[in-house]
Amino acid sequence: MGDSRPFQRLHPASLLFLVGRALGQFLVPALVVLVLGRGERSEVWIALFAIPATAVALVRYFTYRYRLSGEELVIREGVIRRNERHVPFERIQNIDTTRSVLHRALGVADVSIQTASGAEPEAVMRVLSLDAVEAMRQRVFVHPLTEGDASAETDDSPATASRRTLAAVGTADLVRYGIISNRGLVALAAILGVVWQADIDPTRWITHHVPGMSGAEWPRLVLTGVLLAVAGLIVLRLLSIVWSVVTYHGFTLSREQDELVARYGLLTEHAVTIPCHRIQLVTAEENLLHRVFGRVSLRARTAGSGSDQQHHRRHDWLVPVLPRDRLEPLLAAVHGDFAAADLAWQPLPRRAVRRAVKRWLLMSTLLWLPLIILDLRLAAGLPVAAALVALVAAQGVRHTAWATTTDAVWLRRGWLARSTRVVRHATIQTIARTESPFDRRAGMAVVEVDTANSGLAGAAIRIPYLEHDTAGALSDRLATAAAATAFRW
Amino acid sequence: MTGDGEQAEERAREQRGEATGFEDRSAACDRPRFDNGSWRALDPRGVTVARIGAWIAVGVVTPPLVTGAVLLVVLAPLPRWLTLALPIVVAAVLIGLGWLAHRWPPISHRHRGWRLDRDRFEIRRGVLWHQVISVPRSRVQHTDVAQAPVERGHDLARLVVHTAGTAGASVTLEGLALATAEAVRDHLVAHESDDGR
Repeated sequence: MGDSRPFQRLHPASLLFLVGRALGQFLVPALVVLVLGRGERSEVWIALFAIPATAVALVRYFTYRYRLSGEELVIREGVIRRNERHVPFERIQNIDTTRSVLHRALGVADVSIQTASGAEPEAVMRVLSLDAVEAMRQRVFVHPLTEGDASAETDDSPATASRRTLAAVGTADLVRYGIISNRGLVALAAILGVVWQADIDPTRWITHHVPGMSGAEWPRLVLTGVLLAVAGLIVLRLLSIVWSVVTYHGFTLSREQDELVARYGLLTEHAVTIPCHRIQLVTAEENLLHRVFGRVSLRARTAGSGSDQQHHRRHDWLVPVLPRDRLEPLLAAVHGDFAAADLAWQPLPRRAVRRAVKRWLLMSTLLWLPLIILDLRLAAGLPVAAALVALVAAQGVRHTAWATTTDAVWLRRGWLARSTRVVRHATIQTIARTESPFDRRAGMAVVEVDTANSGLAGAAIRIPYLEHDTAGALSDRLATAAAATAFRW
Repeated sequence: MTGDGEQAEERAREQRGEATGFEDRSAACDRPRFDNGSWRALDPRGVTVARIGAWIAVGVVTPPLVTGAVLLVVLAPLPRWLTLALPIVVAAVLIGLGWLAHRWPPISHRHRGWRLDRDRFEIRRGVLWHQVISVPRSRVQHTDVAQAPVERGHDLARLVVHTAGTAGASVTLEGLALATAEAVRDHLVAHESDDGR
């Protein structure tokens, strides 16, 4: 930690963005004042809010300094309450940049720096010049890997240090992704928000402007309703497509030494950096629509990209949409050193199907019982419901399979909607083997593998209905393999 | 080297003749062997502590249960059979709970254990749902040795091993002799720093 480099300021354009943000917060109140104030000194009111906000923004800019020294990032900020934050490079999970159109015109970027500490980014720096960001990336990530981690690349020669593109998503795939993900609601919510703000009453608007809607003609009303609903669904999908194409335009995932870099965005450009060895869990998801198009969505969780809803929903995509047959090669490329081609998928034992069916038949009967008590005629529905449940249960078990490779454990499950999960040994935290009374009667066990940030659902990988001996051997093997690797944040 | 300090401390502890709760400790052994991978039972005094805890729980539940039943009988216009049945049900529940408080801890004790081998720490627990949890040693983030008042009275402690995990972010082992808990803790932590990870 010898060198004491001088503290740096943010890019001068920060002033513009800080003031812009400060004023942006008062935009709505200011408009309200302007509209409702009926010209009675409204400018004074606005100035009363805007001037202090601007002043605060200015002070913030002039007091915010950072330094990349030795092995850590030091950030100093504040006037009254001074704060100096030290973030060791080792702890930095990723450095993400976001660039709106304005940022791009000025050649700057919003930078957020994530550690494993959870929801909030450790530091958000707005804004830095692109050169400064690149310099920071170099300093933070390109320091030598010190230990022989399983994920460390063996060929660290400068020749391979160049960028290698792993996946690129074309516009056609983004259109598919728009249809699959159905994020039109997000866009709609924004529109509704505007409508709400503008105080437009949609029902009144319809009754006034759609001919024949004032009278109570029921058939017509219902028909219009249905048409509106269908139109709404189509519009939602269209909006979703637009959202997808705009957000993920030009998506590329590339590997640069130990880092994965995802770049995307038409208007607002994002660059997300994820060090490979910090990926805790990789999940490939396929719902029905995915399967219609033969595509999968790939997510990666790092220890840092946590429960934060807004910021990270988008960022934990490794690849939003990918042809199905490219999945395993890509995973192999991401993790570097396992041969996905040699995956020997192990199905669950055949007896598991029977157990699952029995269990769900019982459950559905128990759940149906109150309905029968309410009305005896409902008993007729029980066989249908039970048959459906049994089918889903049986197919669920039949489509569950697990595999181990030299450095990871894989789990594939789901009948209609499928998911594939990969956990590297180096990120396994604990392994639990559980036998319920029913498991014991059948001579079976459940193996659960826990990782950092595996999500609300609990264990990252849960393999049910394993033969007792298989479960023992598997958990033993995983524990030994995990112990042989070092976990790095 | 932190290991040396710990060994010295261990030796001193042994010389003072404090029990560490290890059955297979031979006199020739300089340091108790933790990591031979055989399953070890918890301290039997843990049963008493668990019983006391369970009895306290029953004691806490009893007054509201009885008061509730009395209020119901006195204030609510219950049918006659229910008025008669209620005290019997409440008494049965209380007796059942008391029986459980007395009988469960030894059963649970029989199903609990721990072991330590070269590269992992394992505990097993559960009477109906048997569970074995393995924590690779290199994943131990930090450990706690905690003592509740009753445990303190019986010279027992609970060892909490924290990992970076989500669902199993911490693994708790109750009912260890204090000295054992401390020894295991020192061992887990020493291993970590020795590796320089």
